[in-house]
Amino acid sequence: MNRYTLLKRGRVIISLLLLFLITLSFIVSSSLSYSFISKILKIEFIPSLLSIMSGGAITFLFITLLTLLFGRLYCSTLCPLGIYQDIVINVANRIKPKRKRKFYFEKGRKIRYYIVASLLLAFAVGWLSPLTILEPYSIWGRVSNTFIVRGAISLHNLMASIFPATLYIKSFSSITLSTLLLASTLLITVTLLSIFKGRLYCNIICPVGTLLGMLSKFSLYKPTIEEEACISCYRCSIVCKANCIDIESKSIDSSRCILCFNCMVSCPKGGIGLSSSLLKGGSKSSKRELSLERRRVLLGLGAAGGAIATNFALKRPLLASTPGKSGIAPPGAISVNHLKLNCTACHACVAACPATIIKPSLGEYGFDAPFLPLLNFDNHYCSFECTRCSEVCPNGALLPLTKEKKQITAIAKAKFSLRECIVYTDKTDCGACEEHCPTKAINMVSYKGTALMIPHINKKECIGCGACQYICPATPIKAMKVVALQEHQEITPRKEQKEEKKEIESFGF
Amino acid sequence: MERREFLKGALLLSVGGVVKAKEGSLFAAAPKEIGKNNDLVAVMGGEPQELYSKAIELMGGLSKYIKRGYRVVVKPNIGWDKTPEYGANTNPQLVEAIVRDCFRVGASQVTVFDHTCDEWRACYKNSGIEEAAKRGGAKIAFAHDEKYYRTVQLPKALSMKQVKIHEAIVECDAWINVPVLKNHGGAKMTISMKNFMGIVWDRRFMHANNLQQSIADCSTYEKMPVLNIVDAYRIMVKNGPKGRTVEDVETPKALFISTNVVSADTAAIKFFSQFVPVELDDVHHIALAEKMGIGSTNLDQLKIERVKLG
Repeated sequence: MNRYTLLKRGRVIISLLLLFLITLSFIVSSSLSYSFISKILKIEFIPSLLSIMSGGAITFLFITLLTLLFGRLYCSTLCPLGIYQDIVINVANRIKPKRKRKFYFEKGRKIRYYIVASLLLAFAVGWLSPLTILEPYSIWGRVSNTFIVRGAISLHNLMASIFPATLYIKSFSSITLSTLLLASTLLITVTLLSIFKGRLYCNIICPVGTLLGMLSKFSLYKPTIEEEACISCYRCSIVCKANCIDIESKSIDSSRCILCFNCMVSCPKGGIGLSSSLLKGGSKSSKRELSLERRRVLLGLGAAGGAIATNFALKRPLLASTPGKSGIAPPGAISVNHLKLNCTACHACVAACPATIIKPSLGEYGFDAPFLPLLNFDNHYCSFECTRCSEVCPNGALLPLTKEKKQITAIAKAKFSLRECIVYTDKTDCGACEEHCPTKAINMVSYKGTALMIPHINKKECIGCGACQYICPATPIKAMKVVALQEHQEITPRKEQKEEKKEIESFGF
Repeated sequence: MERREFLKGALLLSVGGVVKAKEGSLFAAAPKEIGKNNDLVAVMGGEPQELYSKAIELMGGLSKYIKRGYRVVVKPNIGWDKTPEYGANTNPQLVEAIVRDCFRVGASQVTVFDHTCDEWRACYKNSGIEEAAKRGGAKIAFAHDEKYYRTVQLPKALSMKQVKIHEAIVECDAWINVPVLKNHGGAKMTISMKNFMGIVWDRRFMHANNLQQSIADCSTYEKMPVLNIVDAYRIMVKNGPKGRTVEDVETPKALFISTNVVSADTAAIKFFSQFVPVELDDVHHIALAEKMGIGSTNLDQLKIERVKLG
């Protein structure tokens, strides 16, 4: 077994393990005991780029260095969507008739640069949606959340109906239609492309693939064909799912090579390998051509860096549509604008919320920012003690909150409408809202001097957790409605007076 | 055997009654079995297990209520994602003591559950009750989904004629109600009767349909708890029922047991009033229950034993 076979096996093992862990994280992060697994999400490229100021810098540097050393190893080993495509390609090759199990060399397409340029331009002005919709990790996140997590829940509930005493039913597993459409469209596209064209998604549409491909032009080690060894048997080209090996010119397009090692394993002469670009010779003309191309790429990379830097300098999206006022951003989002500028809609938080109250937006944040997480209080409310969504977010869109900080972070404000309140309409006791209010921003006061008690909100103490809205029994319109805050605020909780503890002697009856 | 015990008890009771009527001080010397016919027992000044074992002894022992082979439900208050020191949930040590005692007297199965308000897994875990119940050998039942509830008719009810009650309660042979004594914003106080809301699925309906009457209606359910054990080890005197800080909590280390919900709650409110004054009439569901014949708020008619430990 040659060393490339070993490398390939290592890559396959690591990549499958990573895909498994990433997907597992989506499945189990809502349970109390296994949420630590979601730390694995922080290894992805776009999340590390977006959270470069909030803990992602090391990952970002790691992936950049890795690419500068070996090329797009990220795409074959760390990217969950890439690994998924490899699995599809592998399975398809087992099913396809033998003569169709071939890939052919194709010229690199310029369109990928236009795609990444337009995505980055949108990114530079603070419009993330196009990037997030096509970004591979987030695609896999939405696929996991929409299909795999829901599938796991259905399976779990089936098991729970067989073993009702040991397994609990998981309630409220509904998904939104818009997310279902988005996730299935992309999943089908990617699947079909990989069945028929290999890693074409990665080499035309994927912004990460294109960006890392540009970096790969400068990588130290590149896959190269030894001209003397090559017998033009085409075996390498046939197994190249990136379609990047040109036997005619005996060259490999390093910007599209994802370093799957297939070619190196397939070469009967051992004529393809990684070689240092420093030691490589070559004719002067080709060198000049290379350096010209390198300059163009360098320029492109510079522009990309500029676009990213511009985005970081933004306080709010420049071209945002009129902000929708109704979306309540999860705790840790800082503001709706921060969420819009940092969230890639991977839906890790949607999957992780133990109360299942995080739903993807449609137009609630404005139509320029669909699929972002928002809180929906139909089935539950945001637990006072829980910080799960901010723990799992790999993008820095939801910044980690301590429990103490979360408990004083107002994400919305409750609004009381007397005319809908049971106490007003029925003249009977209720107090469900006050009962559930964790900060006691709601307290019950005498209703017109009678023994009946009616809620009163002290807005300064309200954190907008939605408990009052969720539990309010008034129908069809709730008396308590929680209204989003565009900027999250810090509240000053009421100071509890220290009171003398009472000593009692008798039972009182 | 039972008849002989009954006769013996009846005899002792009549003797005791005579003695008590003549001279209260002699009562202490009376045989222990007298306690077996208490309507209500109040104990104070001990750890939860001590309070429970003294109180249940004075109620005649748990075997009087739980027979061999019974499938038992112990229903604490696990409503909130709070740790025990906040007094928002029933004391886990008390739950464990009751579970163990159930098995000691021959229960075939003990189940513990509550329909929580906060996210249920966090409530079960952080209240310490799941762990305590399991330590005692009990099973934890899930109660967070409508699928675990069964429709039950309440013919004697005035507001809520039909209700969905947890299957564990519907299926059990006997259940023990173990509320914690707390101040409550909506219902004024939450004790034994209010604790029934944790066996019910649709609490919004109760809030929307005359809450106090709906709470009283729950107590017309034909399968009433065999015992109501009110945990007053820690009591929440304000900001109830969830509470904010430990400043909301007093620690009188007390416990009340009664077979009747109304009596248990009446005693508990009078006890509570020593900390924060509460008029019995303000806790309207108790008066409504009394009117419906569920029990009496007149404690003078009851045989009560009060004990201070330590």
